Amino acid sequence: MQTVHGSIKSDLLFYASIVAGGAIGAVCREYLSHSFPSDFPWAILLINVLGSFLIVFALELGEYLHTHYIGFHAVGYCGGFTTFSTFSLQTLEMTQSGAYAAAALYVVLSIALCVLAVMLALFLTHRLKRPPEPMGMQEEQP
Amino acid sequence: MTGEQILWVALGGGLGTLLRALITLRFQSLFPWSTLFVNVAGSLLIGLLVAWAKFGPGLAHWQHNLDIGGFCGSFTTFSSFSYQTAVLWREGHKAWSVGYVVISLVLGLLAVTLGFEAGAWLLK
Repeated sequence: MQTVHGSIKSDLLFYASIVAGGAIGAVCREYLSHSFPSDFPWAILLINVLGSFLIVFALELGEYLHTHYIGFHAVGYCGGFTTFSTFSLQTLEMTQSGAYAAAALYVVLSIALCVLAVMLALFLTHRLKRPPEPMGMQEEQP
Repeated sequence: MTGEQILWVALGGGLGTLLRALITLRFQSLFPWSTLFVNVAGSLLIGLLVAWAKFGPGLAHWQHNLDIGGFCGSFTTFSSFSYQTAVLWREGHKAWSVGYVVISLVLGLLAVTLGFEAGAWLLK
């Protein structure tokens, strides 16, 4: 049997990390989305923006992290926390109730804010990886 | 949320995440076809489930937590979708990046509508 991480035990641990992250992410999402009931789906919008921000840190700083942690954080937690199906369903429900402007706003805000959140996180992770050179300090010549 | 609700959501969320991971890690490509597939398939399924809850035999609270909040919610993902969109753009595949957003939105919304309407037509 072909394995992803060299041994079956390591593969099992990898997928167990992903499942654990997904289960925790789903519970956090449901908890948050039921805590703030409103006509406009602010809770899911916030969840998707937050998850889009957080996923970048695991994927861009991968060389410093254990593969199993990346699976837990990115594929598991952020993947399970954010959702596309609820987003589609809420958009459909808004159009069914005639709230076309709100539906359009929801779609546009979701895409714009999530991509912005990723870009902000990409900027931050790149700063973390490559600290700026101190002013006035030159590299020593051999 | 009660302890029982947490249990059902966690179970559905774990299963949905595992299935998504198996699909997206198995099929990796420059254009994220596998994420597009899970998002469209999950949208179709959630439409069917809501129609089933509304016009069919209905869904008990625990089934709602397991299938909709847990499974469909976690099988689909928005974070990978936004990350992939930004990365396609950063790598210079700007047309693919815009295309990915448009195709995901069009197919996702079509799928949830189709799932709901087909379910309503069959069950009403």
